[in-house]
Amino acid sequence: MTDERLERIRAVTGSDVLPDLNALDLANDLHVDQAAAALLRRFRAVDDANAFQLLVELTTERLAAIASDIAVELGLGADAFDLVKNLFSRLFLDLSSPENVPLHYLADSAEKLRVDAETMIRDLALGEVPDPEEPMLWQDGQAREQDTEAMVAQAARIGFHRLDLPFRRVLRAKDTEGLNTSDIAIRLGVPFADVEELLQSARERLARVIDDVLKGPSS
Amino acid sequence: MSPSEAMVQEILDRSKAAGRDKLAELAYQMARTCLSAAETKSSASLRWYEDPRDVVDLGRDLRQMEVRVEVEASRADLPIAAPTAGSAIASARTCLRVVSGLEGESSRYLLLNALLSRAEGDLAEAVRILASMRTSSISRHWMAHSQETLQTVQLSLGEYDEVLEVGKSVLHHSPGRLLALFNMATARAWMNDGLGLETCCKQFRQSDEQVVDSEWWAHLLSSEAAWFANHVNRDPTEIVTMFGLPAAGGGGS
Repeated sequence: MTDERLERIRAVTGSDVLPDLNALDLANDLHVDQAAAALLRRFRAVDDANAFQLLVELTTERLAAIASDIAVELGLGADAFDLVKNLFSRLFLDLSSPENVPLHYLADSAEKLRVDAETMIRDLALGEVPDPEEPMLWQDGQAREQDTEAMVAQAARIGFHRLDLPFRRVLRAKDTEGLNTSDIAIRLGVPFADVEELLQSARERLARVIDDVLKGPSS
Repeated sequence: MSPSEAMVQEILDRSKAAGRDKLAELAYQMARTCLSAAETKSSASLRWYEDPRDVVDLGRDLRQMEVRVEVEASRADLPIAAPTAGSAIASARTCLRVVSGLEGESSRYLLLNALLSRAEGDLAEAVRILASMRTSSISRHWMAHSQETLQTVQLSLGEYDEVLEVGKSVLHHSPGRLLALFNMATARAWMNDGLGLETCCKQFRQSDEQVVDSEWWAHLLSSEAAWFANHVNRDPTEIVTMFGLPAAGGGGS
């Protein structure tokens, strides 16, 4: 008697996935990789929403557990499930060829979750807060002409860390990583049309904060 | 619903929402491509920061995304090949219906509708739609975008004072918007107002937006310099410098 999940995968994909088995073991990485590859291939080949849904049903718990482990390991203070939601959104929007389906779905997903978690940590700026003892280049009254660039760079760095998280995230995604609007929308979980607005607000806010930093504390 | 089922449902909902958003954006881009095809070179007034994507590529992506989000959005009527000037407007209208079906009268829909009205020659309707966007509660980005488009329609109508008024309003909410400033500069040139043009150019140079690094702006300003120069009795190289570009060549980064 073949188990119901394996039958569903075979029915949706129209292929004999894991032909030697009667049961799918979701704790077995090889089983998951082969099932996921077949479902992703089907999804990309004919845009079959059922294949995507089954992929989500079968692998969400595994990926959530992986994301949670990564979050603990890296000390990520945000909701690890957000990483999984972003990962699936990217898969859903990915219009690349079915030939490009990863053979090792779990390892590939884990790598992506880790990269996203590291990005989120940078966005949260944990451990990156500027040294409060760092001398301010513009406050010694002796800043030379050639120091101007370093001075503004320092003010920008300090100013960046004073921004609210959504502003830091959008600036890092756009200006540091060079992501396109679509990828930024997915990462931040905002509509495509709102990305430019957020980016513009972040830049304006950063300009004001840099200005405040350069002026120094008001006496 | 178990916690596990709730997680799955949350992912599916989020993915489909992202898919619908992507679909609306693809339809919007396809309409842009159609509008570009409808514009003759001599009347070209649409200034896209990025070249419109090929309609065949867009159509393929759009149809795929339609299937994924399980939406049937006038699939049969969408263009399958690069539209001719004669069919472009009708194709763009189809794209507009797709956007409307997905997100109603969104900012994206209203702007596109105004652009289509303008392309159809109904400038009054374009002005009406764009002016209505000034009073609605839309985001600052779309507000600026729509009002800059309103300026270009007003330029076509010869309403130069209105172009300046709208530009001031845009700059009040979004300081340093280059397109608003450029439209104001164009109005000043039409008015043969050299001093007013200089003021606009000064604001343009002082904007935080990166004009010198933008190939797009460099190309536009170099190609329009002679036109500006002619209207205010200046040398084209002087005009390029006034806008903050290097005088020699002005070919961008």
